[in-house]
Amino acid sequence: MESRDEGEMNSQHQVWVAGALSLCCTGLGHLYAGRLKRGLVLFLVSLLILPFAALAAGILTSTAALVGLVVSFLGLLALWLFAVIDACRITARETGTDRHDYQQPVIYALFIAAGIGSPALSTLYIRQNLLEAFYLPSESMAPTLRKGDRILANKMPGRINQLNRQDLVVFRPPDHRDQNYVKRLVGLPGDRIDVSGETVTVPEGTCFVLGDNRENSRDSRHFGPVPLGDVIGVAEYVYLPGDTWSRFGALR
Amino acid sequence: MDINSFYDRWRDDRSRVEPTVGFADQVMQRIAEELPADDESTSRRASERSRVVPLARAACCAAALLAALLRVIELLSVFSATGIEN
Repeated sequence: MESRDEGEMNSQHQVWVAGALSLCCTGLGHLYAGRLKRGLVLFLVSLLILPFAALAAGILTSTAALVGLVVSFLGLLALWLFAVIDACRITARETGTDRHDYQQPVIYALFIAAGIGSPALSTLYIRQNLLEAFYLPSESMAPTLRKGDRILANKMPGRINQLNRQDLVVFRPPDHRDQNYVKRLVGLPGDRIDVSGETVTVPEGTCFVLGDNRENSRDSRHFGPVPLGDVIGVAEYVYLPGDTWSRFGALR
Repeated sequence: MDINSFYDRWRDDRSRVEPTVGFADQVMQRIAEELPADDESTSRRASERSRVVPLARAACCAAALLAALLRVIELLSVFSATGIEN
């Protein structure tokens, strides 16, 4: 009789396990507590919220979209905290000892791997295909961009393939292809540009870029036109200004 | 004697066989041997378990916190900025 009681006690779900599983993967604590639907919803929302917010910021290009991205990031952390607390609360209230088919160590291991791996894959996807953050250590683009500014460049193919004059482009300069520069695009293929009293025609497949701070900028006047294929993004947002928060938002 | 009569006689003989002296004691002794260990070893095992279980629990919680920290760092890397040269 004693051993049977002990067995029943061991088969009950434990609060600390639910909390630990939720920390490893949003929603996994709910699966452990027998709330499959809620667990899967939490898992999927936490997986998709950031890529969707980044996609919206890439398409809409407005300060509201940047605020949405920051809010969705904070919301993701809040959702995670809620999942931990909710899973612990449900497990503490639970009285039954029912087991479900999905409550298997293999399933838990798969979700833990997904919980740890998915944020890395998600941020990698965002940085390679949607938005990438850059840091400016110089004043070559003053007054538009200041030293210490952190900006987000739009890397969506639809945006890079439709460059406009006055766009702030992030690119690899022809003479230092291992570095990243940000300059203002002033000439597209076929444009005739007056540089220091000399008229230059921008060759096909290239663009002409200049720094806003002409006196203190290394640009197409020094290394010539930039191949369009070396443009890696268009600077759209200042998400962390180096001086005042009034410059937070979309670059226009 | 046919085979059925022989069988009936054998069965009657077997049903009258008395168990040997001490047969019941031997049975009880074997049962005692098959039962879980005595109180002393049981309590020793329980004491070992009470030491190991909290340690295992603390290790699991520490691993979960490490995993959570890793996830936060992975998420923050969205805003981790690459340097621009000029």
